[in-house]
Amino acid sequence: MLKIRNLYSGYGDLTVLKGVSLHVDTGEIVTIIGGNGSGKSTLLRTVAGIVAAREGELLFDGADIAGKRPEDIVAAGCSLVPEGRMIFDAMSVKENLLLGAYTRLRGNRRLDLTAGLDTVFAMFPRLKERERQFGGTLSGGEQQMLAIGRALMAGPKLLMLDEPSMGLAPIIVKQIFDEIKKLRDAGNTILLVEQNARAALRIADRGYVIETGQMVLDGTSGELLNNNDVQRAYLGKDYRSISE
Amino acid sequence: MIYNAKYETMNREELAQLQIERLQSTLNRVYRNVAFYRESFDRSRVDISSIKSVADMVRLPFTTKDDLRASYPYNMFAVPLRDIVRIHSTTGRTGRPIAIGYTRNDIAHWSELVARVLSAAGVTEHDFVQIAFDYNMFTGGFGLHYGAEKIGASVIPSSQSGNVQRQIHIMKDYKTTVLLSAPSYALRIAANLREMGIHPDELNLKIGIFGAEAWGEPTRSKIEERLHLDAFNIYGVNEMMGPGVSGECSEKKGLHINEDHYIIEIVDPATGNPLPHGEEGELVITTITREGFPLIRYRTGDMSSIMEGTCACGRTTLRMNRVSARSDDMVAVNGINVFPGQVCEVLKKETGFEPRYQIIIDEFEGGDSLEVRIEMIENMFGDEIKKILGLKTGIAAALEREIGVTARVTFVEPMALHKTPDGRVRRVVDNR
Repeated sequence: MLKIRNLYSGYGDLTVLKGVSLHVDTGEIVTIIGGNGSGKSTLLRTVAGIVAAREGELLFDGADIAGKRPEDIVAAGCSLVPEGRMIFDAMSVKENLLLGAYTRLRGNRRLDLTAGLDTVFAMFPRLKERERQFGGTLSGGEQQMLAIGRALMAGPKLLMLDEPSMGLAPIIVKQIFDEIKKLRDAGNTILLVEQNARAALRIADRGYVIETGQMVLDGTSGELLNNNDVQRAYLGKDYRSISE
Repeated sequence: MIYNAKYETMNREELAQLQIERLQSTLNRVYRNVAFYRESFDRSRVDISSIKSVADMVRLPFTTKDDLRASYPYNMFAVPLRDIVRIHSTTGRTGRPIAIGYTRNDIAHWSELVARVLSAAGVTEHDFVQIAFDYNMFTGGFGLHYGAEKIGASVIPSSQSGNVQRQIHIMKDYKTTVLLSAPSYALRIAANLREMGIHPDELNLKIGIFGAEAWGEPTRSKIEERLHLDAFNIYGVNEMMGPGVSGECSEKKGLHINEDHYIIEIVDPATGNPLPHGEEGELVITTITREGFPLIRYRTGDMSSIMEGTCACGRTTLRMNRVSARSDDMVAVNGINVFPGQVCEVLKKETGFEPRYQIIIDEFEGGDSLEVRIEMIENMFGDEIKKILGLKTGIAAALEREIGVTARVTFVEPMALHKTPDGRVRRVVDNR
């Protein structure tokens, strides 16, 4: 589905990603864990075309998407749920969702989006209840559901999620992650970037660990959970408690 | 049976992606965590971010046995010692030993890799697997044990120590179906069977999986004939965790390499230059999943080649030919590693000069016999038979003392030693 080789990208003089390689197969949840500023978000933003790739290969579904415009990448089937959710506060829940289908509507103004809306509402009944409410009035968890729903409206083959747990209470995080897992079980492919490594590894099939813009480890979620470095750095187990 | 179809039948392009990802993260890890590699890469001016494909690996410096010896015991470990759950080591017979550290994940991978090579030879959960390899600092016993257990077979850890007849009693009583041992040990078992008057058909052996020594097709036929089983070859290296690097499938046409964990190159032992598929050279292995003791371009000293073409068994992994010899000509004689260099040292000490010599190994009554032939030169000892006889016993005693092997020492006429096609004396003639 997604194949990345030797990817470099960054902002201005700053090179953030320094030769990153990874892949995501159809139907799996792959997570990228790493500390603050390690390049996780930059990676998703580069795949999405928001940040330009400076070097390397970016193959999505066999096609090279490096250098393509973000809307074309969405149209190709790769949607990003951005960090901080980026909900349009002054628009209703339904309007926010419809915006997610923008690239599809562009080519066909009479496209019927009812089915798409119904799918999202079936998945997140809370959004149906709040259909006419302004986005800005939703709780954090609801906004995250909305952001995911909006990305799904584009009918993506690959869904990329940037820190979906950010700012949410643990119980809400669990709900959101359960929904992400259901998405995978329904056949979706997901690339998940997360600081909450424990929550991410609980639902992911595989993962990569990124440090200062370079991959240092990969493996199944079980292997990463068993790795002492991961435990110390990302699961909050210090040297003392590791022997538990 | 294919144990892990996802990885053993992966298409080559996907495998290439997996290998480069794992190679890059291994390089990033060793550069950060192992002083030896940081210095080694910096010294050879290799920027690891310039390694963009497996083919770029040739730019990386080698890791040698001497590097590992110098790092003894822990300097090459890539994780804090508290993360290490197991330590094995080489014998150190030819120098300082090498300590090999494993994390919990390493042990899990090791089990998986061995399970694959055993499955390829046909081992299933219904088998009784007798492991006649030592369980000690050597990696063989434990590694094979984990793999067999992972498959779900009934594992009999009989070990190599103890007498052969007891081994045979276990084999008979427990109805062992799979024997795992060194090939020379299998022949000893066969010889003892005859002595004990047990016909191989009284046993239940189906499969024999042999490794830890270089052995050839003649030995395979002998073992199959005498033990009435199907014999398979496996390959491993202590420094690579142990068994599990590669193994034969039912086709018996080369050993399938576990390429999602090991990248294998063949290089010219003299120049270090990479050799194309099909050509024989030294096996160089890089680990790409290992946590505790990752090794980059490790010179194994084993001579082999990569085979061309795909295998009928359905696996897509590359195959290597059986290890024919070692770049240092080491041979195992009755389970003891003998280096020609050691023999040469003994000869120099005993004769006072460096004679032309040859080591000849034959199979003898289920074991190995070792002969050291020394070329006479004119006026070597005058004509004194007594002197020659004295020298013979002196050399034999010294070989026993210094290397631990019993050898027959003979003197031959000039030019009577076996030569290679280009006219050099072959240091080792292995007739097994």
